[in-house]
Amino acid sequence: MARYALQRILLALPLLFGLSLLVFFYVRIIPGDPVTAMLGVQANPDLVARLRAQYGFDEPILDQYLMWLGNVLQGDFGISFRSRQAVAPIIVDRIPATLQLMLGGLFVSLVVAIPFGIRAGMKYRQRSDTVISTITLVGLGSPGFWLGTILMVIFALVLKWLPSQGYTPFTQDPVASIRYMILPSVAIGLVGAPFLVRVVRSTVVEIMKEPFVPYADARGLREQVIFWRYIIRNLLPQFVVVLGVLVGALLAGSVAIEALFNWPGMGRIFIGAVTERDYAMIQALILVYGVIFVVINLIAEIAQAALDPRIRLK
Amino acid sequence: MHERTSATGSREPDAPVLEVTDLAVEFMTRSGPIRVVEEVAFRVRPGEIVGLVGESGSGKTVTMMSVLRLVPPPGRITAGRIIVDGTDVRSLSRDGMRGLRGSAVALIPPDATAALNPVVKVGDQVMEGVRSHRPQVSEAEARTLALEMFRRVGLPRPEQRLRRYPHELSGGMQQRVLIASALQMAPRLILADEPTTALDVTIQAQILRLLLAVRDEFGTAILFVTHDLAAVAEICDRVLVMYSGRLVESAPVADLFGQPLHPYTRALMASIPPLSADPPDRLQTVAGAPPEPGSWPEGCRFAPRCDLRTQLGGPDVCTTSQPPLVEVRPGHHAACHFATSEAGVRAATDLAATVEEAEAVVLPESVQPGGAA
Repeated sequence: MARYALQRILLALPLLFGLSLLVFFYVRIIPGDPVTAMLGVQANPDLVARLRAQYGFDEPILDQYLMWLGNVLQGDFGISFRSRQAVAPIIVDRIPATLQLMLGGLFVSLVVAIPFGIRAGMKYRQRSDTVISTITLVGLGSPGFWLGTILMVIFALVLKWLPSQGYTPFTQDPVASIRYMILPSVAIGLVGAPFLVRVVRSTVVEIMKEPFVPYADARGLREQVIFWRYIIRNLLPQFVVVLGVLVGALLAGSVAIEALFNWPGMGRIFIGAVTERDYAMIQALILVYGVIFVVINLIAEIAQAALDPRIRLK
Repeated sequence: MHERTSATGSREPDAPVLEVTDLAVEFMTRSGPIRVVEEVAFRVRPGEIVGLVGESGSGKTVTMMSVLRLVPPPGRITAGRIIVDGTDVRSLSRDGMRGLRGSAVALIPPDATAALNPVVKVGDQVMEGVRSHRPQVSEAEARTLALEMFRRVGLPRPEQRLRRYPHELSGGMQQRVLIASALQMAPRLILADEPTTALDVTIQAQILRLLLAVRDEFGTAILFVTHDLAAVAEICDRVLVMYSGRLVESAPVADLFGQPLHPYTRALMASIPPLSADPPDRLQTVAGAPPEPGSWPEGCRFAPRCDLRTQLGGPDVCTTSQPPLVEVRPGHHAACHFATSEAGVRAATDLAATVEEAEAVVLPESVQPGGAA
């Protein structure tokens, strides 16, 4: 088991390296020059040249990459072109808000998707499955910002139950913090839930087809034993892996939701950074999102191995 | 929980452990019910090993699963009585049925690898059977019982085996685990559904011998469903032959192989490859394919494939009237209009000689039941 975990961790390193390459070069491929973006198209060519030299844009691209990577490894993500401030502290300030929203969204997804997914899978092609699957299909086609807007109109504007905008750190005032996070969490969670319902449903259907389920019945095992030990226990290893993927989807969804609910997470500065071609900021944000995603999936894979003895062997 | 009389209970000792009368099973489809089993009737006496043979789709597994009331949907038992050890299975409640399954009647499934829960240690899986049926049994007692059963089925180093996951055991050992699991509740009847098909030939022999040993030691009756006539010859006391959802022949094993009365049984036997030095250029098969349920022919269902009928010049009675299963000789039943015709008897005697030769070499004597699989 420890060997498997170590192996997975070592395999994650080249993945992170690949991520750094992608992040760095992806930003260079986007048309438009940051200096032009800063100074405008009619800027003095001398000034442009000076600034390019100052930021190192006239160096060979490989040197630029190595310099950037070296700095990143030391926690230096560069200076924002827009605010002229160091990028790293800005992002670090915003990570807790994004993580809080992600956990809220994850919670909503799980609470909605687990019971309905299992129910649909166990009642495969029966009425409750048809109802759940139809609603799921509608959910899959509903974008987060649209859902979020609807929620906001109903619960904030009409019913006035919850605030539509804003944020309070959890450590400062937990109750207010939770009140603020409910609507955006539900919006994100409901985007992830249909995906999770589908995966749980099809996994349960597959498990129910395994000969060990009817055989457990033929042994006269109690229904609770069959449910927990046969169905749920076999669902878990595959479920944790899907959770890793789901976190990625929630992170992606959170960008739009943060903007919509004025939630001071990474997503909000991300949108600003993209429109302003704030290279250093874009790079740093993609990298942080990527690392969160890789780490979560690494944990999911190790958890899967802990839950499924057949994987540990490999 | 379901109460049952023990082997030495108040009922007469020779009363059958399983009595099936006029069983019919139908599959409910959109275009109406399709019969897959009908008029099946047989008995299994205590300590008896009864083979139930037939081609795929003949209804043998459906018949066997009916005993546990576990015919897979959309199948449904629509008629007949199934009496297990004095209990009418069809009248049992849900809980009563669960009490019977794995307790008075245990199943040994065809593919042990697929039947074991891949993420739970085999010891825990065996123990959960006892603990489900008798909640008052402690974990420690269940473990002791499981250990004892592992020993009895010849699993080497049973303490270690208990802690293994299914994928860490060979196919033969997995099948032994399932047999141990089946035995721990001291069932009166074991339903063995092709218990050796997923195994290597040498392991098959070991498992067959183990089943024999189980019968001898525990006095458990076994209904042995298979399409392997060689295995039947090796361990069964009596044989039931099924074709297209009906029993076509039923006889003590020696009588069946000595004088098979039904043309289908003979065709099955003729398709066993001879074990002589020179293998035949072509393997013999039963000509044609069995009819699909729902499109069974009028009269005898085997008539279209029957070579006896061809020999006799295609008598009309075969395609107009269904031959009933009648006692042709003492203890030997067959469902053929011409079971005792001259041509039929000649065919039976000719075949018997070949089969006797094959039977002698089916299992090498050196294979012992206690060995590791």
